[in-house]
Amino acid sequence: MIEKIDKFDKIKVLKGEKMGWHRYTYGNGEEIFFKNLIDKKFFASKCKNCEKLFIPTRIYCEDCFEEINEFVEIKDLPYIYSYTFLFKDLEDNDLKEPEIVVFLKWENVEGGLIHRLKETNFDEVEIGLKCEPVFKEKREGNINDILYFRIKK
Amino acid sequence: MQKVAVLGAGLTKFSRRAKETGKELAFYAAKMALEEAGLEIKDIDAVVCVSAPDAFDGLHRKGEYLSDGCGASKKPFMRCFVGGGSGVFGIISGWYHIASGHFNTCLVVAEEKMSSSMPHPQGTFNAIYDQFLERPLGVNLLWIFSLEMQRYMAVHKIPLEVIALVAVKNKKNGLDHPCAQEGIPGNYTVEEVVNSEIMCWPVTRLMVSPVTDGAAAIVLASYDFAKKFGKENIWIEGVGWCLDTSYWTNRDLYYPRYVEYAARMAYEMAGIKDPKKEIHVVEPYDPFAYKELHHLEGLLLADKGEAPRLLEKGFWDRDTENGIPSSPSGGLLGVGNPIAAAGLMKVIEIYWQLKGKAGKRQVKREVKRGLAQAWGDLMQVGTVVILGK
Amino acid sequence: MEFKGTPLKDRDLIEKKVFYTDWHVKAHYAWDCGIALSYFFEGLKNGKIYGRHCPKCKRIMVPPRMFCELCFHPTDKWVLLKDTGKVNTFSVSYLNWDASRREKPQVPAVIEIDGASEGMGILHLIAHPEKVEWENLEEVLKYIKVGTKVKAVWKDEKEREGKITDIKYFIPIKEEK
Repeated sequence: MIEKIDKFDKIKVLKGEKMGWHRYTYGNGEEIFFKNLIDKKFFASKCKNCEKLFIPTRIYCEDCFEEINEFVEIKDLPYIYSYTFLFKDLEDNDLKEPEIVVFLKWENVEGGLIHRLKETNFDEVEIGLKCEPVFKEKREGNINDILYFRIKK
Repeated sequence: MQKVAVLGAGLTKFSRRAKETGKELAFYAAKMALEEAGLEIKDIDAVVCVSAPDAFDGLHRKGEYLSDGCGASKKPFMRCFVGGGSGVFGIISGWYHIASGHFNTCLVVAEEKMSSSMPHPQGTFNAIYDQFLERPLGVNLLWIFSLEMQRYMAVHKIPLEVIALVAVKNKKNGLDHPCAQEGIPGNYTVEEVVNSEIMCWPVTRLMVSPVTDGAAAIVLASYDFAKKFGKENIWIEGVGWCLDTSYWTNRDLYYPRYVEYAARMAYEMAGIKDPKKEIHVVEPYDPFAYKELHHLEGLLLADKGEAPRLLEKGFWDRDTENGIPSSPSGGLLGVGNPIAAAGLMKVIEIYWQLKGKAGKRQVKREVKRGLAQAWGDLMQVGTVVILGK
Repeated sequence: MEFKGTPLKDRDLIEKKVFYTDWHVKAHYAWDCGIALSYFFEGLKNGKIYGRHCPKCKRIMVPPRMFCELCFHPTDKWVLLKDTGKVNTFSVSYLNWDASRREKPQVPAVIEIDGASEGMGILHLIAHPEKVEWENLEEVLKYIKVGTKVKAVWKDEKEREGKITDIKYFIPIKEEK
């Protein structure tokens, strides 16, 4: 049993909270990835020096430290590189329905995406299985334009 | 200890909000520095990244996040942070990476992306105040500066118009800086500065540096590595740093003693006995107009209370012949203030001045030694670096 | 030299010329006040300001702390201080915490508390002695300057919570001649 202190009558504490929020521009690199999600396409960066492909797109190769200005569409489906099952939410309450989170990679591409896996039973999940995206009707250039992935049957 | 040389420098444009992410800004600055040094990333042994509070960019472990943009993938990496003092602290950290003999080359990158912080970065700053005794009062960042400025003016009886001259000088100098943030440099009169919108009296809008995104980078190398290049090198001659107590309401704010202690450390290392004669150009940290004068006194380049009087005589002007040009770059008031990158921008200015590459900003008098200083935290830290030919 | 970077204007984001994503996070904290401040806040609840004494440098310090940070030595006794003081420095602020503008100014100040060592100040607000709210900068400067004597105005006993805000504000007082 992990002890959690959340009753404060016996010790003197002062409560407070973080103020403010954040707005992040995607930048020159990742903007290309997210813009193409609107067209339901997945793009990767290609380094002209080492010819490696990177998802999400970026404007520099971290190994060669050269600028990247070539971007290619990746047409095939990603595969499950790793996965985990979630039973609790961020506040330590039980989830109504447990969730599956996957790390998906594309063949011959560096990097990948973390996302949710749905329409799947827990015992069906296996490393190596290919997955397809299910997109939102109205897309805006955001990771949630992909509602979830599901195993390609 | 090994001698350390500066081989190259890089800067991005400074702007209120850049499209680029922090990583991309860091990449542009780092790449530019490597190109000037004539090196590739594989020639760099270690990387130091300096960046101010994670809260601005809204990311935890900001150093690690920026690391690939700094060229640090699969390399020894260290992130340092002392608030606004970070810019100069970065070069100090890079210096001891090499002076220890452990590395031959070090890339130092400073980055800041304050624009991510909403509704305004000033709100994010409130977390520097004590959560028990100060935040419940509804604090604003500018309070500490206006309180310090008031104390400085009251103790030395300095009129507001004289302090405003710093803003006039720096914003004019900034017109010649290619990276300056749009709308920040300009030709202003003392009246315009004094009568601009009151933020926290006695601080008016034109006496405050803006919120900025930007990055800067510098390549350092050991004596043996630098000598291979055969060019006239710029050397780090002295470094110093000092932190004062965070009980800032218990200190007399009219004098930054922590800047003096940091300066003394640097002067001793550089073998400087008479800073007023031996420092030829200076870039003191100027987030607010009065701060430049406050720091010049802490750096022992002027007696206590004398910096404003010398300012009136043109002693700190860029084209002075007998004085010490101060903030020839335009400083934070004239170029912009991406917290950590601003300090490194000042170091880079001293580097360019010594190399004769400062273009329209080149100072008139001959320069062989320059000093850059940064300041930060809760009126707490002084970081100083002395560069020489 | 070519300097890179793409400055943006607000309308670039509003008109969606550039893509971005927002992040709102709830982060709540419960900070332990520690030994020194817990005692200090109990004191405030009872309408008293306490300082702490360092046996090495003999400073009487406020805000109180369990160790003297200059001597790096434990402090040894509590000292009851007065609730009056003098203005070490002050400012006239037209800004709220989030940089939005105020119509009427606030006066934050560092107030050296009587009974503590020289220069021992705390941050607080100064209010108009009669009407609490200040009208403008000129009005403030008629009453306050560096060195002005001030006195704390406390909340009613039953409203005090053991927080720094148990002192509502300080007001300038006329000096006894």
